Amino acid sequence: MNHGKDICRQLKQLRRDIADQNGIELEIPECTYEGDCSGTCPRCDYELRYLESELARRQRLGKAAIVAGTVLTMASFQTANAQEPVVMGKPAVIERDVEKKGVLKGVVTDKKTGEPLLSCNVVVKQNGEIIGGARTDFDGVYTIKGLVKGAYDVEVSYVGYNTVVLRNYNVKAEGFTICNCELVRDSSLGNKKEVVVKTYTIRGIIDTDKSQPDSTSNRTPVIVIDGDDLPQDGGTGRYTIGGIETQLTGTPASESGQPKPCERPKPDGDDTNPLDKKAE
Amino acid sequence: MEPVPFIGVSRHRIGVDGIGVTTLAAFHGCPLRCRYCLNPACLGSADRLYRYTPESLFEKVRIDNLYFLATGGGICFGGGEPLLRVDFLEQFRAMCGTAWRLTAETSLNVTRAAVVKAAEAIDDFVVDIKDFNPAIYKAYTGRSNRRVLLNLRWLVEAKGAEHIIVRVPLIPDYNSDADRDRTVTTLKEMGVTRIDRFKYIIKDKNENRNTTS
Repeated sequence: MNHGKDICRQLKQLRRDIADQNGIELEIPECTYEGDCSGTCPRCDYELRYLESELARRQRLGKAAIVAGTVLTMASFQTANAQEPVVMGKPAVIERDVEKKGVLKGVVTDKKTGEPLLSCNVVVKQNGEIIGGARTDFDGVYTIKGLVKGAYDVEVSYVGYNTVVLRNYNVKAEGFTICNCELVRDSSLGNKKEVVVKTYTIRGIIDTDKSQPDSTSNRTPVIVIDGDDLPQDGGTGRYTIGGIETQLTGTPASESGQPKPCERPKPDGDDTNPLDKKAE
Repeated sequence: MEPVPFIGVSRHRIGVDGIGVTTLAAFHGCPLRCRYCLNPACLGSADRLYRYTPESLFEKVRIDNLYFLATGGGICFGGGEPLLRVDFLEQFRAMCGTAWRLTAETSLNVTRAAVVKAAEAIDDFVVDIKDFNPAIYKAYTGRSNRRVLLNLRWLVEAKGAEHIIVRVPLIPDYNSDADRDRTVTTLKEMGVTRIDRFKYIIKDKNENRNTTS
């Protein structure tokens, strides 16, 4: 079916209706053109211009011009105020080149909170051999390209969470295969405190080796942490800050409200911070 | 205003881009990188494209004024992403007045400021939502859909659901009927009433055959 001819036929009927409604004599000859039609042609456009000029002339003479409210016969037409049904729904036809390799994509989230997890490690393996891998972005999304069709073990790991391995996950021959994953916090860390660091600033550098004040390798950065969740009793413990587990010793905030520095961990029985030790 | 690039202007689109007889004016430029982009020319070089100001586009399309008035049609701005050219839309509306129905086919993946301006200039919106699932959306378009959802929610409130059609495609290799059902459910919860479910048909260039899903 020539879609352009169909459009032409509908528009021709529309012009005829407008002409009849307004008492305009409009000659519409039968179209004999048999080639491809875009739905209009110079003749059709001429008739349209003629109609508009005639309507304008009638308006100048104080006569009403009727053009609104014409109902067309085409099933997909709607009157101006109709809301249902939606008249679209045509399939979209897209051409693309053949892809030989597939892409594994997905989002990694915290199962409890639903929040996306940044910088998770995702690797795909076949027979224990790592075929590819990626890290999740700020939206928790990862992409591993260049995978041939087949079954893979998808291993998702993140600090402080139980590693998840999805066995024999089928990746399609082309396009994207979606593999989303939810991680659960490692329950073995449940008795360890976690702090939420709201803001922090590098307060300064403590040089513990007074004999070599210029040696940067022996300096310990001191981070001042503002946060209601920090220990108020100055106690020590293991905490997770920014996804990294560490041990802090803290002192309570001063009466002025200015928090005191938290220092790096010290090994048992050794008063020297390992980061401050000089090479023997 | 400087002329802006268009990838094409197509007259007499009946029952495709909204109500009545419409002329599609497709802008160049899009924030998304959809895997099966229908109009990849909107992402290519803008060197050899048509360029129109609001005035020159109005002059080009006004020949179909009678058709628009008789059928409740008008101009459908597509692309590409028309809401990237919201100043153009505002000026075009000022030129054509209120008699023509202006429709925008948009992803809504634009700034809220653009949506607010467009809501003034445009009568109806056709929103291509892709899929509500963030992973599917990102996989298919390369972008997050975070502001899409917020913008749609705002638009439904501001314009009213009767002025918004949301297109929900079945995208081969990306989403499933179940995904589409979830998207439709969420849309209904947001108050969207006009939902167009359709599917992409992938035509393989090299093998000269159609693949449908």
